[in-house]
Amino acid sequence: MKKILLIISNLMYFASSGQDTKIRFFGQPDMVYQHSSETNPITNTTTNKSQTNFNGAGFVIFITSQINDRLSILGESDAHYNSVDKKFNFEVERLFLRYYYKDYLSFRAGRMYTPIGYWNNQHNLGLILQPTIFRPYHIRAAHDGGIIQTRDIGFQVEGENMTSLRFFYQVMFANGVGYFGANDKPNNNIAITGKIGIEPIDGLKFIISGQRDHIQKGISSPTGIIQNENGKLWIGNAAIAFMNPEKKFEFIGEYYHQFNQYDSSGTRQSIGYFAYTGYKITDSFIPYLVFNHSMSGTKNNPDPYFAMYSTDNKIASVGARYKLNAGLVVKFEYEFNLQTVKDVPTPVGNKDFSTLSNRARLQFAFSF
Amino acid sequence: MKKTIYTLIVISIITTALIGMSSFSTKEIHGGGIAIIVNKENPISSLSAGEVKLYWLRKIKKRWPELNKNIKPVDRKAKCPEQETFYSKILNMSAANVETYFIQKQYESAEKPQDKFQSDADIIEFVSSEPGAIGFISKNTSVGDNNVKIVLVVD
Repeated sequence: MKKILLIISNLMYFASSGQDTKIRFFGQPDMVYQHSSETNPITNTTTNKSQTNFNGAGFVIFITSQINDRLSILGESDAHYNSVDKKFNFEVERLFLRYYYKDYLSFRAGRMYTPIGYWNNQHNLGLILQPTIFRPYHIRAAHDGGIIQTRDIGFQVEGENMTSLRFFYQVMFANGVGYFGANDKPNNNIAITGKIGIEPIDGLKFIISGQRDHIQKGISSPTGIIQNENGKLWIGNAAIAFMNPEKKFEFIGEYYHQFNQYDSSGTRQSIGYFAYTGYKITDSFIPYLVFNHSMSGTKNNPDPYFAMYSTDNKIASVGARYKLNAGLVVKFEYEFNLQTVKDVPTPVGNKDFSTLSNRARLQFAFSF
Repeated sequence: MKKTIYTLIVISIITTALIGMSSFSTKEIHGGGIAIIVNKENPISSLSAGEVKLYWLRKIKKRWPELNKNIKPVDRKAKCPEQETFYSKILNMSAANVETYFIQKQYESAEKPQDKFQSDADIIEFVSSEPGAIGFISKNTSVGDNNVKIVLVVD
């Protein structure tokens, strides 16, 4: 905690001494009720469990500084309580330097969000900016069940606002899955992530993106599974978004398809897609719906990158947000989640295990 | 289970209602005529309302094409008739949406948000000293012999 206060005071000093340095804080306390029913197909019994929690959630310190006309710095740190070691953990989420040369050519270097899809670059820790309480399942943080690497350390080339279609692109060269930028990578492998898109009318974006990386034997995947063999990883993404603050209708839809080519055991496939839609009844009040579906592996071919057994996860949410002003948004969300783990070996043959859970969550997202 | 969900729903409704009431009590401000100003070094002589919106929000361009300087949007710190006119007639956005727009840009790609000032005099002083600045003042405020020029007047 002392360390956090010291960092905050240093940032405040930095902000007050630099002419173009802006510091912002984000917080998002919430309360959640969760009920789950787990069905055991062997004993044909159901186990019910309920939990109610009031969460402090993370406290995000966000700082940007305009060094000169073309050079800027962004730092984003998250202080959150870790229930395992009962301490506040402090994590640097992003820290990069951006050099703007022209609209069609800029550079970034440091730790940043991987340029894949729409949501991953648009909405993250500053939850006041995010239309929902949770990120879509596929791109959640690993500790929330997410399954792809959403951040990495490397170098990015990018451009935007090209031609009348407002073409944009981002290409990132980075360490890849399992490495933390601590001189811990024992090879020359580089993960390449690329994104291209157009914005033909304000707020309407069509995006195609992809990532190529290596799977390293002995390295943990984002879901925490140690990989038993080497291989190659390919992720393809297609996204459509219509998010214009002047329009009543909002939509985000994304599709992810991942191929993991293991050197000896062959190729596995996993997919995930989600759709969000909201409608502004007033400028401040927006009810919304979200549907997520993720499948890791296929029925007889589990994907060891994500889970030991094939897993199917469907989440449907209904919610609403009320925006008081740019500094406070209240959101309420009710979520239904059906998770099925397929073909789990048991003494009576392979069985599917299902868990149905409902979750109600109220969040206060603020910024100052 | 039902009891907890009902409790959460009731808390949400009460919170929303309280927040809503506080925002309804905010005093309505009616807009006045405004003038859009830029630095005299900027070769642009006039702009349409649509162009002002694109430049001020840095939507299509981040830099003035002929000036080769960053576009620096200038805003008022507190709610005022000039800001009301600028947001509603030029930007067609609410104050909350303008703020969110700049926070989002800053969050996404380290872009500096708009500079904010207390008065027309402060805005004129800043625009005079920053070649890339673009701001709004009351159309009744004289720019005097400052290093600024008017590129659009909106009633």
